[in-house]
Amino acid sequence: MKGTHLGEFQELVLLSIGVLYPEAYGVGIKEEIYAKTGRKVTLSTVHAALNRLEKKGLIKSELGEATKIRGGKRKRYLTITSYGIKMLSESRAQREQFWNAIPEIVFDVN
Amino acid sequence: MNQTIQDHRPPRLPQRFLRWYCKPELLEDIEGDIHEDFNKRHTRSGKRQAYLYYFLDVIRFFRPFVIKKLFKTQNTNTMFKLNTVIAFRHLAKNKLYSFINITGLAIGIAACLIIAHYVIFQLSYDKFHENADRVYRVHNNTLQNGEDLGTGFYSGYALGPSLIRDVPEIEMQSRVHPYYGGAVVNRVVDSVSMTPFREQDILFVEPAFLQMFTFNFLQGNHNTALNDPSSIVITESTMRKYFGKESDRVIGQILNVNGGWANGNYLISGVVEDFPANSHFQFDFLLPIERVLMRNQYTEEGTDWGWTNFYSYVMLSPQSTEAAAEAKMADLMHTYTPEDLEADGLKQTLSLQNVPDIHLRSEITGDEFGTVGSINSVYFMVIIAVFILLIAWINFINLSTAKATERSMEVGIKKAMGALKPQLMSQFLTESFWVNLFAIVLAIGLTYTFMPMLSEALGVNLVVDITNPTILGALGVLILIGPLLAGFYPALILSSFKTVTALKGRFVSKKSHAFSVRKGLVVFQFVISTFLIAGTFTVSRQLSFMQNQDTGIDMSKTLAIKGPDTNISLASFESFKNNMEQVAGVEAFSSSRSIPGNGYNWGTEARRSGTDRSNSGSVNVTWVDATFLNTYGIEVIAGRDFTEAQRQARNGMIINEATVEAFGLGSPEKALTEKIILSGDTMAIRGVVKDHNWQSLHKAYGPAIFLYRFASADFFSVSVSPQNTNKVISELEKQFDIAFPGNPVEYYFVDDFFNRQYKEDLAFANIFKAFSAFAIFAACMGLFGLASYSVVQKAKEIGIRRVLGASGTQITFLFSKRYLLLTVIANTIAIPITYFGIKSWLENFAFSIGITAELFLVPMVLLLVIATLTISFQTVRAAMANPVKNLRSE
Repeated sequence: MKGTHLGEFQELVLLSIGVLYPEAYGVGIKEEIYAKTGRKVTLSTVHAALNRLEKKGLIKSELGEATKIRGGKRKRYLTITSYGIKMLSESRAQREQFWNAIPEIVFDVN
Repeated sequence: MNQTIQDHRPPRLPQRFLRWYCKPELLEDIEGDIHEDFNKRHTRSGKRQAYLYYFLDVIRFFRPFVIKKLFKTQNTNTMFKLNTVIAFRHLAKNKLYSFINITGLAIGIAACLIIAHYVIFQLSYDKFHENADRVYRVHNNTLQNGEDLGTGFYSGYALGPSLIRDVPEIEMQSRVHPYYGGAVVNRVVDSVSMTPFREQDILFVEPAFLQMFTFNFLQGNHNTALNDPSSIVITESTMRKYFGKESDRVIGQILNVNGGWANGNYLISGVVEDFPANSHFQFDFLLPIERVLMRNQYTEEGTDWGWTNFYSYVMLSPQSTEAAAEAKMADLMHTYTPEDLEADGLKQTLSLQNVPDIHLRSEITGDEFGTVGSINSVYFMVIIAVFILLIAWINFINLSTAKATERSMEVGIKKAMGALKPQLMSQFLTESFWVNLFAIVLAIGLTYTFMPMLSEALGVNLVVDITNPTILGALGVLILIGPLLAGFYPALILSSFKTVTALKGRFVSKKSHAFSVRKGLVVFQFVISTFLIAGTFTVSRQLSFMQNQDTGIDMSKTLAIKGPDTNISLASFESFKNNMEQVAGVEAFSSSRSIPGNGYNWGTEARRSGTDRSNSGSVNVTWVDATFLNTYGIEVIAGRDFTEAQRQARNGMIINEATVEAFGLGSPEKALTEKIILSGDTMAIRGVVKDHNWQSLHKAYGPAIFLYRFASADFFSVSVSPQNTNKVISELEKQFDIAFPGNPVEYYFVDDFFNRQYKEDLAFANIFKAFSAFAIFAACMGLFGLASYSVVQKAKEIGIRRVLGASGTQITFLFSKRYLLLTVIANTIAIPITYFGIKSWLENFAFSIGITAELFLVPMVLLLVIATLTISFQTVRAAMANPVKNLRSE
């Protein structure tokens, strides 16, 4: 299953890339995740996930402009591939299925 | 995020680290991200935080997916694999060469491993004591009128307590009093004595002894074991000997010790694990020292410093130094016994020697106990190990370069295809690596095979332990350094061929540089070989000289019987003596307090009557009876032997020639008119005997005096006519048991007993022989390999010479000549080195064979013969081969 399965953190990263479109890059994703979930993640974790996602073909990247704040280094902008979109929606559909299958009574307990 | 973010300079070091390890395709993105984060953090939380996080981020990115192939491993792996394949093919193709190379190296490495075990063992002596670094033995150096009389460790019983009193650095001390002469020990159950055993290793010690040294108590407690005067501590193996299966609970059991020093029953209060072999003292029984101090000998007035039968160990307090303690104790003897020392013109200085140093660096000039090692023999072994390893490596180098011709084509083609010199070198180094690796594996096997033989020869029980850190380290170094050291030069030579000449197969340059280095190395090997053969020859000559030298004492037909320890009475002695004298084949019977090879009874001082005390010299005294000199065939050259008819005092003393010399008594005849004051008693000289070797031939003749004693229970000696030996022995056992029931009988021929003194020398000779054989074998293998290659190379030349009419002998000679010349050169160089080696070794012996030309000639001829044989194996075969075979193919 390795390679096709979408991990929880990877999904988060993938979603952030979508949110930040078309200017998703390492630091931006990190901050987006922090802003939306309050999770402090390190750059290397993000990069590791990006590396994985790219290998699976869920995202693609291209180099953007260089800025001074980055020490003159170019950003690598990430966009979701159509396969990535497919995976995301599949994952969402699966969850929907689960959600719909939960009997109403469960929600009444609390 | 509205603040304006300034650009800052990130820390240099982590940045460089990142750039070093990061994959180039990822670097820009990652570095940029970290940098951006750094700048934001810098603005937000300040410089320190930013620096810290930059650093942490760089560390956190050190992950597999980011790290580039740092060592280009993939590429070298392939090369290594390829080189390995080539190396294996090559080894398989030249089986003889590979065999010689690998075996030679393996032998060298095995020899090193074995020696390493021996050296580690020697260096480990007494290090197992927890407090080893602060436990010392007290030594005493004596000067007489400025002349050094040597260093010993015996002292009176008063020294120990005064050390504690006068030297605050000393935390505890224990006097030790050996059970001189041994004792008979038996177990007592319900007042019934069980089988007795004769025991030698019994020590009287103080309770502190158990605290200073580290004992592993199996039963009992080291704090209390010797507190009671009737307690006895035994070792585990002693416990098995006396209690067999009932060993689990022996505390409180009774042992009876009977040997004259402190007879009686003792309650076992402790059982300790057997002492490791690497201890300078060994024991089976420990007794409380109070028991021996109760003897009259030690309770009488004035015996506190006089009876020097004790020695002391001390433990310094942790913060004090040896020097500080020594400074306070140096003159202690003069504080307590000033008059005696002054009258004799003596200056005694006390000093300390750390216990772990005793085995290899003993300061004692007289006899040590236990097996004495010497740091020189350890160095010597290390040198031999290095020699052997060098020989093995040189073999490897020589064979590899000699083989170069064959591989010139290979090298040439590779070079033509574009191979670079470093690549070629790596190929040859890989080959060297594999040969070395095989050799090491084989060497470990050899070590396991030969260690038992060697440990027997060395008289030490050595067990192979390749997990020992030092051994492992040595192996690691060998694996790393060996291939480089041995492979570098051949690799350099092989890879430096000029492409074109190499392809033409004519690599040997006219300068023939490689060849002279190789010759030099062969010469070096043979210098070592000559040295070792000459050494072996000298050592075995000296040993057989010592064992066969006329000692002036007739030992070969004399049987010595260890006297009884219990149930001794004059009556039983006389009946034993009378009965033995009746036995057919017994030519003479004698009793004495010592025998040749057992040392003297009493070392004391004497001077010629009529001179003052500062003229005293040390003499050694032995008590014998009237038949002793006759039994041992010691020749009386002036005066008369003792007679039974005289009382002790009227019998006077019999001295040896060395005594006549030492005390200026003139000639032996003149000496009979003189008197000698022996430790205060003036005695007449009754006779003078020829000088004889009472002790090993390491020692020169010294002043020795025989005193008369009608009967002694220490040793009985029987002179036996050779054809009756067995009958005499069986009769002896019978009579001994009748006369002295309860005493085990122990007897030996005096020459065997005497030669036991050479145990260490024999061990040394055995080592020397074994390792010389190793070295010579390795050197010959190298020579064999070289010769075989030169023969292969010159196959055509030989063929042509044969066709043109050269005889087989001529060709053999032609090819042997070159190598024989090398051995001759080697011999010439070896002579001076060997001369000094032999000379310094022979200085250990007062009686030695002396350096003769023979000691050099025999090894040289031997080496020449061995070398000729080795070479002619190849040359003769080449000369005999059908020339057509070699000439046919072009």
